[in-house]
Formats: sequence, structure tokens, C-alpha cells
Amino acid sequence: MREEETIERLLKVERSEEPTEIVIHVNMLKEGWDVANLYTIVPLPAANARTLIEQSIGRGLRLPYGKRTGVIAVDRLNIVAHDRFQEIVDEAKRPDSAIRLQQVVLTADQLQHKTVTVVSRPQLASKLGLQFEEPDALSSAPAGFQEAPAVFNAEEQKIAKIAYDVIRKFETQPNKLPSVTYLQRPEVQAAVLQEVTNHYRPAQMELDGVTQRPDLSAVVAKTAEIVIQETIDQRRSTSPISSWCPKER
Amino acid sequence: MLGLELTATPFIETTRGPISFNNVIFDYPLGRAMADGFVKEPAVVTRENFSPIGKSAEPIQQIKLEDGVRLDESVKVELETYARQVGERIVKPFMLVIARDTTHAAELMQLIRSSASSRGATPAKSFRSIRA
Repeated sequence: MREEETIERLLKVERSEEPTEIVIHVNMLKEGWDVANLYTIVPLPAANARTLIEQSIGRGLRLPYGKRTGVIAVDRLNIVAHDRFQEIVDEAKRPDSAIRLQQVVLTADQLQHKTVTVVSRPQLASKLGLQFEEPDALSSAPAGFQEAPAVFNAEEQKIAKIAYDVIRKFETQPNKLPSVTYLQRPEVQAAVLQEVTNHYRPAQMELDGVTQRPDLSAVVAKTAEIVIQETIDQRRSTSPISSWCPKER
Repeated sequence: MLGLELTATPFIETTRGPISFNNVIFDYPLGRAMADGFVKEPAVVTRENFSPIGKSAEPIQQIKLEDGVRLDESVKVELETYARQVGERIVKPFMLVIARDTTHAAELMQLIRSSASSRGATPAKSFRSIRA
């Protein structure tokens, strides 16, 4: 790798699109390189404990969100120093040391377990195709589960979203919707359809007659059916967590 | 005319050691910033029942690298989980390995690459060595 390219990537290491996960450097980097996403330092040369502490913490102490989060692992800089552990602990405990050091002792259990991030959203949301807000568009796909497929096409999803919002609004008004099972009644569905018709603005293409106008009443009926089904599923479920985990297919 | 300077190094390096500035009007040392929660909490890490006695440099280095990678992988998961829970951007962590010299750095890169491929690790991972 050319040196300019190396430096270029080193400067970008803080960005999420830069795939570098390990940087090997000779001696400690001096001033001018302070990256907030440095979480693990593995010092291998035999420096004295004090130098080791000072140089390590000088590099990776900045917080990526600018403040502590309350999540220990997100707020901590790890200095991996099996062979120097006690020496470093003792050095940090000296009265003239300005720095307090936490101690982490990895257990056999921790060393064997591997964790993954699993993102789940209610079946209801995935079936209706409700938008799920991704904090980071570049993030990897959540591992582990398959979500229920959406039942509507793109335009129908817009209608389903409106219908769902109307149903949620009705739920707060017991005279309109005493319980979700009332959604089966024709007069309740008619009221939902009326609201949806008022709020729905078709895309320009539909006005030009390029595609067919979607069947509002069919989408409303189907949305009502899914809401009833998923709400009852949730109530039957004994564990509040399982009802929010997508079923595996 | 009033000049204000902010510095992390309020001293001048001389051959007889550092000489502190004598016109400091406010001193906020790192230790206080740590206590006040403005920076990460540094932690020194080891493995349960680890003893360097009887071990040569190579296996110790291997253990440190392996545990470093494990830690960083777990931090990666914690960071993603946190970001998704609070709706923040996902921060991608990285690990810094300090080598003795450029020869050592090249050896480390070789070692990490070969152990990564033997574990079938993700090709997205990349490594580099910087000349000091």
C-alpha cells in the first residue's frame, strides 16, 4: 500500500464508511491524532508503566458522542496489558498519579461468548410496511431474524400508514373504537375509510392516469385485519418480549 | 490587548526537563476531566488466571492480540446496540496495536492477517502499518 493511501485512510478511520478495524503503529502516535472511535489499545513494546498509561490515554479518551452514555462499554477505553497488569494498576494508584484506572479481568465465559446486535420491530410494523428509522444508512443489516414480509406495494403502504394512524387516533376515542375487535364492523371501517380518503393524496403519476388508483377500501380492510390479528397475538403472548420479536420464517 | 491560550501541554521542554508556564490563569487537569465524565474511562485489561511466568514474548503477544480483537468485537456490538436504541449514528470502533519497530509491525500485520483468514474472518477488515 502506498504511503499516501495509508495516511489518507488513517485520517478517515473515524468515519463509519472506512472499513479499517485494526491500526498497527510503531511507538505511540504523537500529538495531532486523536480519534474518538479508538476503544482498544494493545501496547506491545516494553515501555515503563507510567509512559504506557500516559501515552495510551492521550490517544483514545475522547468520547464519540461528546458525552458519556451510561453504557460502560461505550464509555470505556481498554488498554490490553495482561503481562503488565499489576504494574500498571499500581502505577495508577500512586498518590501523584492524576489518573484513575478501571480494571477489567476477562473471564473464560466472556472469552467464549460472542454477541451480535439484533434489531427487531413489531410484526405489525413490518407487515404494514411502516417506515423504520435507521440511525445510520450505512449500517450493516441487522443479523439473525427474518421479518414478516410487507403485504402491500409501495403506494398501498402509504395508504396503510394513513389507515394505521387513523386507527391509532380512534383507539384514543372509546366512543369511536372501544376495542380493536370493533374494527371488524362495517360502520367502523367506513369511518376509517372516510378519514383515509380525506388524507390520502395520490402520487402525481396516478393523477395522470399512468397507473390505476389503488383500492382504498380494500387496503383499509386489510390494514384493519392485520391490526386486529397482531393486537390479539400480542395479548395472547405471555412474554412481553416475544411479542415484539419478529417470528422466524 | 488580551491574549488567551488553551493548551494541553502548559510547559516548555528543555534539556533539563519541562518548565511549567508561570502565567496560568485556569488549570483543568485530565484527572478532573475524567472524574467529571468528559472523557472515556480508561481501563487496564487482563485475562482471568493469567500469569506471564514461564511464557515467552510470543504467546503473550498472541493472547493480548486475541483478547484485544475479542474486546473490540464486543465493543462494536455494544456501540451498534446503543446507537440503535437511542437513534444516534453508529460508531465503528477500531483497535490500535503498538509495535516496537517497523520490522515488528510487519510481523504483526502478517500474524493478524493469517489468523484472520484461518478464522474465516470478514474480508472487510483491513490492516496497515505506518512507518514512524
